[in-house]
Amino acid sequence: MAGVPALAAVILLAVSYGSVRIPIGDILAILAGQGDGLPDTWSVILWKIRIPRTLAAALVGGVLATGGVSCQGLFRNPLSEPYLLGISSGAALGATIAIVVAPVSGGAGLGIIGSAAFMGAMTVTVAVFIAAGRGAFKIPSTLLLSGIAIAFLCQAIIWLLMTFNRDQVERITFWTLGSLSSTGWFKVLWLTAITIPATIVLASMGRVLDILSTGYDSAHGLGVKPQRSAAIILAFTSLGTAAAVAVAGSIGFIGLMVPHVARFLGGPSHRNLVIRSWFGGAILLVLADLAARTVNPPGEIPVGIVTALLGAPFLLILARGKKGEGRLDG
Amino acid sequence: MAEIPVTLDCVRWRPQSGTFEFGPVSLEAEAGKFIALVGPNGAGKSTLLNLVSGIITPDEGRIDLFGKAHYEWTARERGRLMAFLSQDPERPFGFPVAEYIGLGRFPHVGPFRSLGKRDCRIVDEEITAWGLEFLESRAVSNLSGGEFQRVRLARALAQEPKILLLDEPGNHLDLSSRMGILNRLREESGAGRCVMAVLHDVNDALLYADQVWLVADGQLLCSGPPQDILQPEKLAQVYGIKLTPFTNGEGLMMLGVPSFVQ
Repeated sequence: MAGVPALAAVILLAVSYGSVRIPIGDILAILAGQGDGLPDTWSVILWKIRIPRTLAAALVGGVLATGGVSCQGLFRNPLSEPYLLGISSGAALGATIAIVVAPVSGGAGLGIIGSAAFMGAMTVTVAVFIAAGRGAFKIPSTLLLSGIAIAFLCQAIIWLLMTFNRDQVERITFWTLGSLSSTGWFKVLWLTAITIPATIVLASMGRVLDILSTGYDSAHGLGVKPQRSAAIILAFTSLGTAAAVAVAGSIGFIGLMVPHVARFLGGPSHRNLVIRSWFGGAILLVLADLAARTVNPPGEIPVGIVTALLGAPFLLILARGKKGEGRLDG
Repeated sequence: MAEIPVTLDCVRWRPQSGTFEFGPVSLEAEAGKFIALVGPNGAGKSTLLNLVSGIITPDEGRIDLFGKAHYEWTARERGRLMAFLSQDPERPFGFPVAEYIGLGRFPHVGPFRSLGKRDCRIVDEEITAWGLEFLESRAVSNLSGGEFQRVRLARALAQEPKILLLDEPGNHLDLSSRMGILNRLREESGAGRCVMAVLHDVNDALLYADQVWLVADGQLLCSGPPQDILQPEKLAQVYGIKLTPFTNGEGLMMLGVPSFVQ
């Protein structure tokens, strides 16, 4: 498993760079409790800011990629991702309402905005499933269509709220673009508690995902309960993604992009694909976040812009491959 | 006495919308028989297969597999018992042929174990049997319709099912591949499996099946040896087309050259 050392290396790199450069050797010394003689501020920067933020980036990126794998496998559609289930639009709506209603953005734990985003994501996802009705798992397009329709509805409400609250437009926009700034230990804990179990469940269902990806009737014939398995997979996918979006906003393209790369590198079998994608997503978002906070110091650009800049050309390459021998087929 | 693989007892089913009604149908499908389901479009042949497979559940009546109610079998037990090839296959993107056929071993190995030696041998045997060696590492999404149909059949047979349900197995296939499939199905039924297949060509049914079930208007009209059931008069009732019987080189009745019923 090359993922563990690769992720560890990337995390060290990300923790090392920033407004203040802390050499990796010194980081290891501070982590080992032998940082005597090094500036006190370094230890504060590491423990209070960079380490929790970088860990959060890894956890968010990992679970977004994992969700992409399960959606693409389940819907047998290389362009699907968990955001299509209404998670990002629901989160954005929740966050927008919180921004408009609440005078300040603070608050303990996830904060007012994060909590509202999480509740919005879960509520809207449940609404998407209800709207899709009983056939949702049998005909995936119903679920995707219902997700798209409800996403439009959420977007309309967001725009309406923006129209009436022009002074908050910037905050709403920036929240939607996604960012990992001001991520403390509580959020790391929150992400660990939800996304790690969700990822483990999804990874353990890898073989079942293989079977489901052959189609509903076929999966039934191969001895799984397609309805129940799909429901479990989607429940954990939604929960994990919502937890991530509540912390970091709707960071795009990870869920779409990483599974394709992981499939290309190690084949389509979901047994390993889920874990491989988790590492891929974690590594990618740690690096993207590093870029987001270092390209234009001392300011930051929203990390969603970085992932979009990487994602757009990637999608074009994917689309070109589709015409020929089918790069989409990994 | 060995248990009967499939028993339907007064089974009725109605879709959520529409006027179609299936049943009441009672029947028994025996082991070692190749049963052809014949009848016009929309007659209920696929419904019958779906009911037996368990994809849909009857509104009334009871379906038993080997003397035990359908719902009493767990999903995986059912997968070891019965393979089902529906009509409209979906293709998972990226799966290589060999790995896809290996999914047929799922009911045996379960969600966590890897394929064992025996599983791999069975997969290899099916690959050879269907002449798929040259496709082994190609992605199923890049196969032609006929190639993919053979891959699906290989997957179904890798399940080692006692009951094989096939909805138009000859779909997408050229003449020789279709005959290859029908021959293989005959072999499998000869080896003791219960094969139920929807066949549209009455001559295929006449040549290959042990039994024909004639299905029309959601009812099982009659069943028996193909030569008795597929009589031109009976088919005229069902299809509204009069087929002309003739005798082939082996003295078997075949049907051809339709002349329209007045």
